[in-house]
Amino acid sequence: MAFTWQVLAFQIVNGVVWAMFLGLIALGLNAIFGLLGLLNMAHGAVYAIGAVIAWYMVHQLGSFWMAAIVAPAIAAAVSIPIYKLVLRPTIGKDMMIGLVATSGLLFIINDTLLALYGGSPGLVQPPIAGGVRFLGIIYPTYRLVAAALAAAILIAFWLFLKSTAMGLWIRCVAQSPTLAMASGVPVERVYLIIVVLSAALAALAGVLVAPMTTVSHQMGLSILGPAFIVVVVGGLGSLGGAVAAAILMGIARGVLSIYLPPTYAEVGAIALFLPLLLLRPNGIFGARS
Amino acid sequence: MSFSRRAFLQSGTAAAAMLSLPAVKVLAAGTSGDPIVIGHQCELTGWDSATGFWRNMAATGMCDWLNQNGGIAGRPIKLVTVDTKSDVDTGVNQLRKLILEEKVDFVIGSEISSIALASSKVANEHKTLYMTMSTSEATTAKANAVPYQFRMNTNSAATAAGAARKYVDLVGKRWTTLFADIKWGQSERDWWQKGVAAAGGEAATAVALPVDAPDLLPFVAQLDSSADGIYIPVLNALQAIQLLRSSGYAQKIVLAGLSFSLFDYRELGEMGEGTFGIETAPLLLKDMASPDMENIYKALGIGADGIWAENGKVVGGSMLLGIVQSLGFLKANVEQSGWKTKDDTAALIKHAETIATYAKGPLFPLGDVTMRAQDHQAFMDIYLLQIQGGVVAKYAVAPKDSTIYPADVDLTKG
Repeated sequence: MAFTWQVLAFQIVNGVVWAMFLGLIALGLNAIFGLLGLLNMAHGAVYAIGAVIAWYMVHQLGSFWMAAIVAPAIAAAVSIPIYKLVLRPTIGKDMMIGLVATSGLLFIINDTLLALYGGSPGLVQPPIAGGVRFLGIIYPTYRLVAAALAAAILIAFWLFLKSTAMGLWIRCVAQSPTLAMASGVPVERVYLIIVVLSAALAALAGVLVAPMTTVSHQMGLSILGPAFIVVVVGGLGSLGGAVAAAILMGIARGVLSIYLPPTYAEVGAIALFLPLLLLRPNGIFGARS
Repeated sequence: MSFSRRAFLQSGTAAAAMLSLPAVKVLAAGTSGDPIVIGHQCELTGWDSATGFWRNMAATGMCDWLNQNGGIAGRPIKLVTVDTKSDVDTGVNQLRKLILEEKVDFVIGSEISSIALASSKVANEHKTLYMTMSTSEATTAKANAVPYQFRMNTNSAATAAGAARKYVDLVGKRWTTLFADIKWGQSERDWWQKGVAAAGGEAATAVALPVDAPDLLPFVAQLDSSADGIYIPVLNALQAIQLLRSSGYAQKIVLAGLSFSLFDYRELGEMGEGTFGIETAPLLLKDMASPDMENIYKALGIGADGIWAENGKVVGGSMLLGIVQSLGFLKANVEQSGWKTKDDTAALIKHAETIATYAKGPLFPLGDVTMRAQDHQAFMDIYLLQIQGGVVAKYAVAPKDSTIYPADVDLTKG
């Protein structure tokens, strides 16, 4: 495709829109790693659960927006026993133990979805039809609304961290669980709340993305890689860094795909991050590692 | 204590073995002798599990049906299915397991081209006949053509040869392509572009799509909006169609060979209306006029509308036909060549190379199938389907002779 400023502008806008959802997914991944020291391989599968619930809600009840409430609620409720039975025993242990435990969860969730939902991909029609004529094509209105919603949730989460007692406790535990505990912070409760919030946000991201992609039992796998990259490049514990990295990745993928075959575009988008890792090893905004 | 445990296990095993005997007898009524073991290398899980589901359903159901109807050469069939997990390494390892541990006589292969490419060579080394399910022409062309591999379904070159001319005449001359950047998608793109050019049309831009891209919009936006038609060999055709329509692309859409097996077309709702597909089998019984297909639908629990009663989903009809015709090939050649054990497989292949046509019948339910001995490729009528009034219906037929393209190898001289 020939280069035009229109094409470039379109890829940038779409990259920013997708970055909002990637940021929402990376948020939970980042929080669980920052607080519990766990690389949660099952995080993408929770995102897939959200999308599958959206599919069922739309096809069975005809209500998409209901899914935006039900899916996070289910994910949050299920995450409590999972935290107590699977995640909690791995905290403070070798990172490989957590990796194996959450990988097991990933397989269980994926295959349960395959058994219940099936291998055939599904579609969720956007709840807001139509589009805005923009840069030569019609850009779906729903994408703009959903991205705005995701951005609002990211801002709300940032405010929650900065302005509430629980937010303060979360930041304390992220810095030093031992010191936080000695200061009377209920560390156990903080762990549980962050797991519940992460699951709810991942499921919500799945619901919001469902009308923009194909719903399948494996959709969590394809989002996990970019989400991990965004967390590492953005900086562990840095919400703003993760969002900035997600925006960079979304734009790089889109723009490079105009000029390069898809595989090279993917490699190129990741390669662009290498200098960033060298220059900003603690994250884009220099957060603590 | 240890004695009683062992005794318990021994008696338990014996009881289980005894219990299993009647089951074999019931399945294999009217058959006798050692079973013919057919391995099935299938995508039960992973990204291609949507089509694997239908191949597994068809293979299991048709083997049961064959066993109830005299088996093959009077012998019962034992089907051993393994899961490739839609992954090349796993697929090849599972094939080795089928050949070396399960000692299968024949293999019905994977649908994924990369797995099929690697597996056919392994099967060839082990002198095990491999009925490939891949529809990428490249898996049976040039160096990839091996004596121990046959294909009883169509492929990208055949569908393009048969369908491109029809679509250039019906839809328009100028075509753009959105293709999956994997062997199958590349093969579909190449042959479609050749077919369009040969029909006097023009192949405009082709946009490659990463196989696991969650968002197709950046790629859809790169398609040539001045084209008359859009050809789509991608795995997530559902999303592609949704985005094309919601982004203002009003062109006719043609899904590449066997794409209607990848998803339940009803997911598309109104925006799917008018979408074309290229298949080896229609979906609706009324579009087939085949009592043999009616029998197969009945045996497998499929309604006349192509919906499988067990899960209420639309059957992958072309997947079903590929399995049925592969079993038909094995039955015909085992019985005609006098095959008894795996040592006779080379002779079976030589015999199969002398059979030019498999006549319409119970295991070739939609019409005569021509076998080209040079590259072991079958040719059959191709159905051009279209979603009309919310149903996938027959639009036109490309006769099998129009799908024949030149062979680039000659295995009969080997």
